[in-house]
Amino acid sequence: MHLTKAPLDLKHVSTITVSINDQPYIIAETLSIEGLLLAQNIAINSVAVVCNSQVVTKGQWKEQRCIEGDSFEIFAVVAGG
Amino acid sequence: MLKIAEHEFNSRLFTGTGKFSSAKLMLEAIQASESQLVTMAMKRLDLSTGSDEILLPLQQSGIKLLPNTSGARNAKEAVFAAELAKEVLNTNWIKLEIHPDPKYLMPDPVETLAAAKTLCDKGFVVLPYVHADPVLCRRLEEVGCAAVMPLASPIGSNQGLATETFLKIIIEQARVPVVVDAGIGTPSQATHAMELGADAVLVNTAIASSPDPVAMARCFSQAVATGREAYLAGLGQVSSRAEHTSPLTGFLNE
Repeated sequence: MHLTKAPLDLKHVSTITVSINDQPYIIAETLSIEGLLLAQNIAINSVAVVCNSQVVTKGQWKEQRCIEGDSFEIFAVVAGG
Repeated sequence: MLKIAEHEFNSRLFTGTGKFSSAKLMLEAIQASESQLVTMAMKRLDLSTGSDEILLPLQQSGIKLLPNTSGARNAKEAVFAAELAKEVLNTNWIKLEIHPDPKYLMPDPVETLAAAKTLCDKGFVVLPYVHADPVLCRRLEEVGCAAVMPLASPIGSNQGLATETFLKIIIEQARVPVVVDAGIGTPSQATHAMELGADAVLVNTAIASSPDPVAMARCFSQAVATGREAYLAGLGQVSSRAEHTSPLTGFLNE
């Protein structure tokens, strides 16, 4: 009988690695985009999210799950002329 | 009253939100300017510092927010920036600016026209920042831009109306509002632009870099209103010789 290899995560939660603005982050694999933003303390009303070079509209944030290797870019409004 | 797309403005002074020493000062200055439209930029969020705390108070103030595409180096990036801005601010208004040259920030006319056409076709209300080029302004109008924003002089330079001759032609020809943008350094220069018949001016650096931005914002508000009134009243003719204003009857000798 072969034993299944135990998950690497000690908390028994499967994790994935994504990047946010070029920095790697290890997150739970069930996380939605909204969950990702909240987990990073990002004010969700003042940002736009790009996933793998595609704009993700606010309406999709709750449903769309992060997947391994996703590259997120988060943009915010700043002062400017 | 100034009308751009279907939006009406009582004030003909638009202001930028950049370069202020604090968010509080910026908000006070904008209030003093009586401006009803302010520009903002888009930037990749720095997760370590978070976002500027300027958006909420500006949204609460009821002032119309005009995001820009600053940082875009070509039409494709500008269209992308406009989509992002629309997503964040829930507005289809966009100040289109594409200036890849970091030294003089000269707007790229070829990329700007291409981006303007794409954005207008997508339903954006496009206000393009351009050099004071009357031909380009006509072309931008033809592709559907809601206004044109020719520069007075390089961005942030405070050099005033270096392009006056061409601004006059643009104002004469335009069938959309002309907003003189960039380089206006003093209230008197803003007055002058309005006397020429500009529909509005956009001022940022001259207010933000003053030691007293709130007072300077008030000065610009008055200057723009005065210039507009003077334009409507009608300026006198310029003459190369003297035109007497008193009777020349030589009464001492008669």
